[in-house]
Amino acid sequence: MSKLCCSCMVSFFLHAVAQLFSSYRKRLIGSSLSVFSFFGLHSSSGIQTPCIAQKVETPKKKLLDEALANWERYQQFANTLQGRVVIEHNDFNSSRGYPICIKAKMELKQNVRCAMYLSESLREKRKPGAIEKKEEYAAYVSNPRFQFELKRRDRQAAWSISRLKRLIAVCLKTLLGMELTTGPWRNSISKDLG
Amino acid sequence: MAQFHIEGLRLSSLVRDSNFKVNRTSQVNRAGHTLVRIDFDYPHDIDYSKDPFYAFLGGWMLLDSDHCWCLKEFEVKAKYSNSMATIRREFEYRVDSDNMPITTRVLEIHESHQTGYRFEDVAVVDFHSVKPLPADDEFSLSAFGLSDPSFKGGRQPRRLYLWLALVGLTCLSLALLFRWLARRVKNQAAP
Repeated sequence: MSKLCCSCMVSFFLHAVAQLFSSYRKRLIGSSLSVFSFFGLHSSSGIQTPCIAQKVETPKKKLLDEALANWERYQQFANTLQGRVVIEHNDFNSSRGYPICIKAKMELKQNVRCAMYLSESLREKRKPGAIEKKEEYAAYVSNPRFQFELKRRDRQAAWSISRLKRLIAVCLKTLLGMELTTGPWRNSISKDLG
Repeated sequence: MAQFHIEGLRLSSLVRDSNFKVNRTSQVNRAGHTLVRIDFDYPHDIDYSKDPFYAFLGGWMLLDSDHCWCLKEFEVKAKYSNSMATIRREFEYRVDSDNMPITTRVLEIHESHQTGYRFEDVAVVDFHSVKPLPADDEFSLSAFGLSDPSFKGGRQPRRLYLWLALVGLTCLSLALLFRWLARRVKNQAAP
């Protein structure tokens, strides 16, 4: 179950970064079609007929034609986004008997070749009679030459390198863009998020 | 934030997948705004050893066709190795001057059917489109008060020819050695 929790949390965090860092190539030409055109071909009833396969296929094609172009257009815009995310994770695992709360602040920054996010997380195990707290500070950065991961004990402490990986024509931006849940940072991020 | 992904899988990848099946489309009204609901199946073999794996098998999504077809909500059924789960996510967003949606808040509720496990994630997002983009030197170790590594940008050339020459020389040396030993043995054996 902890694996499940971890997986989901990581997924959630990584999704946050995914939109920010994914890269697409195409750009939409022209404006999107209206929602009504989307439905125009599906207004008939759902009676089972030999044409049902075609009816089911049509919305998919409309999605491909219309939504895909918009998603890709948006991705170009998403590549310019920077900012902060505050995440609160409340975990009610009845078998454990006490809740876990994780609060994390992330700062995300990117340019065409580079990406970075800073993470400050506070994990609280709210056991009966006692609250265990654990703070973690980490930075995950990639530039066209190398990736690195930094840790520090608290906000005032100096950063120390916990991982450094040389890159050959690959950057975190690309790795994140693939699906974001891949790449060498996954394990680190999993640890970071508990 | 993640308004174009379902559980880590890009919508653009999902709808292109041959396993993705649209069951039904409908219009839904939310706060006076018309959204598109798509009920879908995504039956596929889940390889949990893969990284990443996509555990959801179908569900529905609400898309905002006026704002780049971004996700407004989705709910999917997911199959994990030890249980089935329902995952629901809701997005709030603002629209910038170019009519682009920018996420401001995300709520995710994850409920496991068999185990009763449940969690909620709430993300408050403050993203802005920035131009010009940050310079490369903001992504270096020196930006954190540390020294950048000194390795060169390009890959070191593999000196394969040197290794081949070394192997060749070794073989030649062994051949000469064995030949000399063979002659010596032959001479000693001769009367």
